[in-house]
Amino acid sequence: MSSKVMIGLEIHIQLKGVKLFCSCSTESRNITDRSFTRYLYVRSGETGHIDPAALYERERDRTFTYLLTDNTCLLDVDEEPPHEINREALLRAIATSLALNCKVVDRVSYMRKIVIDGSNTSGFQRTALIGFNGWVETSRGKVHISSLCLEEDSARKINDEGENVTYSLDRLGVPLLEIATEPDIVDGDHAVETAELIGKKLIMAGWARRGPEAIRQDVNFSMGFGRVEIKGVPKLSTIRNSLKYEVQRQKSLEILSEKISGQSLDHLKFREVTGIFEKTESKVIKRNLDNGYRIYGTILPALKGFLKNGDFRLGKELADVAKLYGSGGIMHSDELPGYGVEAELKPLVEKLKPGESDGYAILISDPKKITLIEKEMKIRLRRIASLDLSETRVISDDETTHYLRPLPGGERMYPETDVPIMPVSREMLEEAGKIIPKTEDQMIGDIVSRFGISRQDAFVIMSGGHLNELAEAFEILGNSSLASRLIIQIIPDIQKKIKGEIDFSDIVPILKLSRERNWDRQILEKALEMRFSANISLEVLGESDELKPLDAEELKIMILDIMKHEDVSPKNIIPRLRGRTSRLFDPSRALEILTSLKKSNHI
Amino acid sequence: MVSLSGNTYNIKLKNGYNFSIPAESLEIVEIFPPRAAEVSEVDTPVPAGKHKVSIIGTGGTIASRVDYITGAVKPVLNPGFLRDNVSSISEFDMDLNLMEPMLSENLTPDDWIRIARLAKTGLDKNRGTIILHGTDTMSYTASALSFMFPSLSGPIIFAGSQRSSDRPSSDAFLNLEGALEFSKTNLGEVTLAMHAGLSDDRVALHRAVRSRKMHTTRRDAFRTIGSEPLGYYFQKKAQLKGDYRGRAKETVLMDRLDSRVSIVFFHPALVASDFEAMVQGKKAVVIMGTGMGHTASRLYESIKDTISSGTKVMMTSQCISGSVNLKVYSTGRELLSLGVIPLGNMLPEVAMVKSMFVLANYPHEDFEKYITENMRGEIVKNEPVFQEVS
Repeated sequence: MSSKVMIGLEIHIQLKGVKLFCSCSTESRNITDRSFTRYLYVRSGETGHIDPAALYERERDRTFTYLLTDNTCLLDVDEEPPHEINREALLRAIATSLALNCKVVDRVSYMRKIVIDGSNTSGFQRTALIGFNGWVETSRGKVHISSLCLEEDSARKINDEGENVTYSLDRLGVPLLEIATEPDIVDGDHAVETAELIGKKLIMAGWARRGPEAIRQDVNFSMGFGRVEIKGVPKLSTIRNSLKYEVQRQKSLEILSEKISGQSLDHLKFREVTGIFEKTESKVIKRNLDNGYRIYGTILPALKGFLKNGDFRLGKELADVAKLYGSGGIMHSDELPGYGVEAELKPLVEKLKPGESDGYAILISDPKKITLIEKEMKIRLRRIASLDLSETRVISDDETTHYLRPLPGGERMYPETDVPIMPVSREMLEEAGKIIPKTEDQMIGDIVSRFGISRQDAFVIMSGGHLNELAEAFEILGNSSLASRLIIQIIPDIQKKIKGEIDFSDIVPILKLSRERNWDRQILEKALEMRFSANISLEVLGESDELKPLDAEELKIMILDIMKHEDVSPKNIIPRLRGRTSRLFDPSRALEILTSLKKSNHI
Repeated sequence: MVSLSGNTYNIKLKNGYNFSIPAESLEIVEIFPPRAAEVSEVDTPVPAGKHKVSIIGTGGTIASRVDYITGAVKPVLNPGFLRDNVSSISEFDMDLNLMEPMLSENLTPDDWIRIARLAKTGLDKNRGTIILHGTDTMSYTASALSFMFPSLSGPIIFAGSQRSSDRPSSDAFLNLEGALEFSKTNLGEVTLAMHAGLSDDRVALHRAVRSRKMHTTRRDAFRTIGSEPLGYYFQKKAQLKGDYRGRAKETVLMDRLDSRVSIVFFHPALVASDFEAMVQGKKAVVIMGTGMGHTASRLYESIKDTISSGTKVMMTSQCISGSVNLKVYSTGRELLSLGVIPLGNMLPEVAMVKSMFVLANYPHEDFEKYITENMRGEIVKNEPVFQEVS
């Protein structure tokens, strides 16, 4: 029987500024054409044990290619020891701990968390416990915070070809807050509420980076069959669906375990059957044969009807394993004939000789990997039979989850000897105390009184994490309503139009130009549009006639010209003028000129 | 798990993090004996393969692991550990010889002699000798051995690492793998096997007497100065190229060194009294001059006195790359006339080590003849215009 569902969250929030142990920016504009390739060796942790997740990676034996970016230095490529810790990030981590009612450690001791999937060039992630034993109040009671860690973010995966994985180094080393809750969360909605509550504090403080990867959640889930960690849940809305999927998956495995427990797996043994597929119609198989892969077949003892049948999806559980070891695909008896495989079935069954209740599968694989895949599949089936479902899973685009690797343990940690243990001084606590993220209400009040904008605008700016930008725009433009409009409307409109993000630091020079030239709102909008939609350089913008409004003389000449050709009136003069020029002009001024011209014509 | 480091207790939490508490704020109530550790990396004997190779461990990062009590990097070398990480190890019959591990900055010329003797014993019984050594002074030790072995029946290959072997990204294993492969070749000289670039795909083999550590931390810190490496280990193959010396019939060791030698780095604030203090009691002095080999004229008097007292004074360049030439400027000609011996493009540290060897093994009056003779390839005849990028 399944017990109560328990859900915990690990919320990862990137802090913007500079990286955790060097002075490279957290923002990158490009990937360079330079790269290098590495291999990672399995190490044991402090206790002399090898972490199961690390051992598993060793079996996979992969090489890693790293692409250099404009925000990488020798530290990111694992060619020098860490520099001084980013003090701003440390203070913000302490302040966040305080905001989440955590106790703060007396001494920050950095650890190396061994991660050899290549996402860290060093093969470990630097991480330190900053706060612990905290809580947040939610609509459904307190959710306890077990720990807040300040760590280095991992490298971003660009490409995974099985044996070679490519990462970009732009994200590596970005300060990352990892906030873990106790399993106090009762369901998907509650998970979303909790994640939002915590995430918002950092966004509103203006500390979080922006972009799709800036806030990521891992969901820890258990319904009595071991802890499942679902990694990399990007959007809050996907938490709900991935949890629903997981409940369903585990329920069906619960039923299944009764049926398969005690079943011997001796007959799960892959035999090469490539010969049967020599003249196959299956495109997938043909393509893989051309690449040097072979075809293997096995009996799946007593699994007929459980591989893909109603809620039973054991086939997918096995496919997950095969995929991780670079398999070209797996097809099983519950879905065959299919995938262009039909004529081969008869000789295949003759060769494998499955019993009445047995299923069977064919696997496309690198010959070097077949023994490993067989071993891993047996392990997986045994664990399902004994209902030990603990593992790390990853979320797919369709919001289902699939097997990623065994759960890592505490064995993967050992001290980072290159970073001395840092006492958290009273001064640091005081300094952090001054910057504790405020509550939403307090912050809105502060913004309203500081900038004199509406509560609604203040809320929008804060929720978007744009407070720093507002302050900067206000300082340059000296006009809070324009600054607020810039953030709330003008920039988002242009971003929508160009379908991309604009870095605020690119907007700053245009704001300065605007201030210098005394531009009004319309000209500023136009300038921004020219800069980012039409990609016109700042120098050209500065000289552009387009951005100079028509003066009285120019307006007069243009109106006279229009009057020569047609009858104009105050009603149609503005659209006529707009048809003639893309430059800006003051419509009331144009009307005045028209009226006076008409008068003088009468005389 | 609780450990004491200095006056701080480190408590290992279940999630793996360490929790550090100052010792004075803790009261010890009861002490439990440590749980028997289930050691995952068991030190089982490694079955012998067919290639006999001697491995001498002197210490340094390549044979080091983190000591979790002190947090320091502690040297160890265990065959099981090597087997787990160097895929080709089963092809070799390793004759391990571990010295009391030393950080390379603590090594002295007396240690070079000890290492040389071990290398000789190793070579007498095996096809090659690999010396695991700290990188800081690796070029000094290797150069010393290079001069001390006028004839070698097999290669002596120094291997080191810039990332300790407790790190998943350690460069130790590839360097060792490369050194092992080179030990099978026909090479008969003293060399260094270290990463050629940032990638884990290529190990460069440097001639000891042209090698230099050119970066504090990068794994490709070692370079062959003024020439190409003698070979590369790439795609599991060790390939030699160029004018490497092949194996000789027998190994000859001349194990005497006279360490009364010093290096003087000339700089604009150096005054005659500094120079005099540095050459006091020395039998030979290597000056690292500016540019093509110059020093300020204020030192001439002291240099002249030093030479007339019987001390040999040689000139190398602090530019590191390129030759000294004392005939181009009057300063140089002046130094020549004082009796300063120009050493061409010999590296300053190599010149120093070579002086120790020449002083101890040849008559004093023949010093200039031997020090300027190209004994082990320490002088590059034709510096390539373009260096091949590996």
